[in-house]
Amino acid sequence: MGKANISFPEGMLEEIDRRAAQAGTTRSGFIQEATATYIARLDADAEREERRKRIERAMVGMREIGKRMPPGPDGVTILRQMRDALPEWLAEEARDDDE
Amino acid sequence: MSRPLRVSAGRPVVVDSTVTFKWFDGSEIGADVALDLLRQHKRDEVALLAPAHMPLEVLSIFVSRRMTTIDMEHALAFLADADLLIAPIDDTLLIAAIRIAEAERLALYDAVFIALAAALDAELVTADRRQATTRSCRVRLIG
Repeated sequence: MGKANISFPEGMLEEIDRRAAQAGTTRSGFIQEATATYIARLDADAEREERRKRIERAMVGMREIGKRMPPGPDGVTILRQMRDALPEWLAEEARDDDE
Repeated sequence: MSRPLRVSAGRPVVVDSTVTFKWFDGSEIGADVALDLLRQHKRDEVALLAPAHMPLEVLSIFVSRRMTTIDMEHALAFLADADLLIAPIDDTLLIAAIRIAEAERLALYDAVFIALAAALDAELVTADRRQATTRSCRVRLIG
């Protein structure tokens, strides 16, 4: 285990000792826990920022793809036809019923 | 879509494939609204969800519009990067969808999105007027 000689601003060491006693731990234990929590928060912030950038890049990339799309019916029209399409055998039955 | 599950504080919103397609085709009516929804998702104000077959439907539109294979591969990657929460199509969701489809005379594909929104008490955002007629969940029609 490594050791460090750390300086604290006026009053902070007393605050650390008071909080450590409340939490039932030592000064070292308290500082270790606080440091680990801070590092986890930094990691989470970095991950959130990376996600934001990834989505931003995806939005730009999607639009670039869209610009290369040949003209044609809109998405709703195409999807509506697909979702409503009957299998061939069922379509034949429906035609037979109509007749 | 295979990223580890993350917790979002955003309000859950289910997006239909007709909406996710608008992220690509900016010339579609309602594309600006669809894109704004993705921006809200980026800021964690909403958590966008879709059932697992959504990318398949979007790719089917691309096939109809004669997009190249390489563009479709990139489209899949960008959809994954959008970081939507993708719900597996399990028996519970399918049974709920079958019931909605039968009761409301909807296509099963429509009903899966509706069933997911209903299960999560989420709003469904769609550009499809037929799907938007559902009474089984809250709906916002765009475009």
